[in-house]
Amino acid sequence: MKNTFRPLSLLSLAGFAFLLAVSTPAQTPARVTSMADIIDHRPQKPSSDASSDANKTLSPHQQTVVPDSTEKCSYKFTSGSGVTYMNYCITVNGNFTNFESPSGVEMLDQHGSWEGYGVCDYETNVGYWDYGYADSGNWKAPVKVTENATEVKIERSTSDGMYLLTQTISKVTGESPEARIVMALKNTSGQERVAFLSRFAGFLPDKGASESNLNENYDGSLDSAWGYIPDYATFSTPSGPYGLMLNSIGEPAPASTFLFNLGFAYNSEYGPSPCIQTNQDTQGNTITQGMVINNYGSGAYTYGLSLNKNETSTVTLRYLPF
Amino acid sequence: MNNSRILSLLSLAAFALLLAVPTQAQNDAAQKMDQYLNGLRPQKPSSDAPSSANQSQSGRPNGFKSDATTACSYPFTSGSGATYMNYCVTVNGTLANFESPSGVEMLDQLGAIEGYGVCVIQTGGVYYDDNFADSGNWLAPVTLTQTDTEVKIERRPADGSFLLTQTISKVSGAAPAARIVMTLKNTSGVIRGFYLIRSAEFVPDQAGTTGIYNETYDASTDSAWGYIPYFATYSSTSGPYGLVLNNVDEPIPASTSIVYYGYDYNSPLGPNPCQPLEFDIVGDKLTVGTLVNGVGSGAVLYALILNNNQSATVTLRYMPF
Repeated sequence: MKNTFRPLSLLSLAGFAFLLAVSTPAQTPARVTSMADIIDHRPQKPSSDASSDANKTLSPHQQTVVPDSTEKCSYKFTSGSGVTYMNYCITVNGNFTNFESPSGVEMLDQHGSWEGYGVCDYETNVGYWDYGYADSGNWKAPVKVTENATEVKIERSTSDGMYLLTQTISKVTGESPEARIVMALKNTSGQERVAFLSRFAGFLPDKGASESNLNENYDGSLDSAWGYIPDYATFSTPSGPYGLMLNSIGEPAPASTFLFNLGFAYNSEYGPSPCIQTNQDTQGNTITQGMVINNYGSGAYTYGLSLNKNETSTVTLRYLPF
Repeated sequence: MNNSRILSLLSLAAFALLLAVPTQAQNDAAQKMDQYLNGLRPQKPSSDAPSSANQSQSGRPNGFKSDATTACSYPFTSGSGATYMNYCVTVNGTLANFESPSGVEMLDQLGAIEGYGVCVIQTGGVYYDDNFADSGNWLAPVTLTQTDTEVKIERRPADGSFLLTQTISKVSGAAPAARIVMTLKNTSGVIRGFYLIRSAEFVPDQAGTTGIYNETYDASTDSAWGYIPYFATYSSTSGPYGLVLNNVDEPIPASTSIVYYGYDYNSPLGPNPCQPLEFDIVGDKLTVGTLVNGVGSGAVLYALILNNNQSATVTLRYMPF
């Protein structure tokens, strides 16, 4: 292990393994040597009503289990003008249907926006996700808690009652506009849990739809994932040199719930499968993590969280143009 | 041709008209503007600017008094842990370091190479200070104000052709940043075209310890950045962190702005302000564009046209990511 973050990860993993040993004494903790090992620890099995492998060759829009997913705009937010302009819209489920900033530069909605969130319960290996183009089919209907000119707050429970996810999405206006996303995950399972909480974005270039060229560059760091068209690109593109970044702010609160976090890019337009997210997308396709140049791709950000019974962990992210 | 390019060409056309010299349609307005202007007026040193003949291998021009320094004069700190930020500004208005989050230093690895450059297009006058070296033609800086949150520094070149005022402020909180406001005033007595550049050698957080300075660099219209990727395709001794130099809003007033853009290149040194896409300050040829696992830098360039005594103000910020 050469990277300095690896020792930190290993420390986290040690604590993580200890937690698992305590909480599930009948189980042998998985042998782990890195964060990726935790995330990829076993193949995801679908929940009782989630999409099955039989559907994975179909396009997301053709899947049979897409009861609640939508790319329809419900809560619209706008600010600024010109280079400080920002316009985004949130679905009833808490997904982004678009993100335009600066004016005229749309970075998500190119014939539809694929953006959303995922939760994996580590013990049961059940994934819960909604990425706009489809969902896992195991969510209850969302509940809008509040809505005003600057933010919307949406609550959603999993159909098995394991988790309650509350999202507050706020616009930050001014000379550096951004959309801020606060996600609070509450463990309502009745017992201690470890969960992965993720945000996914199919970043797209601003002329992707009109010019039928969705290729761009993608990458990730410990705190962020992003997609962009470079200035002085080595490839031809009809789109301008703009980017959109999904950036984690601070650390999960309370700190005791925080196990690990990471941002990553990969070579698929589809969202990551929440329980094996650095390994497979929701279509069952194997994904390769890391820098993507001039190709299809996406970015995701993931937190590993340890939650006592009825405990809530809150994470904050933001979308900002760059 | 994308919108930004078209806008750039329109800007270029306006600029060319202003200079009463025709231009050609180009795919890359920014680069072509640079080539065009340099072709129009082959770079010549200003009366007290360094020439290539004076450049030493160390990068510090010979024969001129240099005031460049990496010494910390104005430190700023906020937050803790993931929201910690610590940076320091030199007497000259360059950054001596940038650490955020706690323990992750992104500029100072045995010295920071960060600073600014100005080109007076009509005269070919070159003025820069990137800590590593300066152009030797600056008067001493003047600190106008200093508080717990910001420092304001004024500096003019020896030939009196402009005045550069910088206000560097800390933005503390959950998403910390160092905000840099640069105001360039034309004091030459006549209308002038300028390039105003901010540049940084982004470096990985363990570079000073391990001697491995390689990372990945790229840029967009609004930003330039360097980082170690998560799931990098190469081995690094450093963690997957990055630092971005991000343009905020547009130059003010808008009438002064011809074009602006970010770019990255394969040198640790600042760019030659009058040939910013072609050479660094020691005359080494630059290659711009995506740089993976190399030694590089990033810059944001503003092309400005200023009437006599007119000022243009640009705003940038350094943010960890």
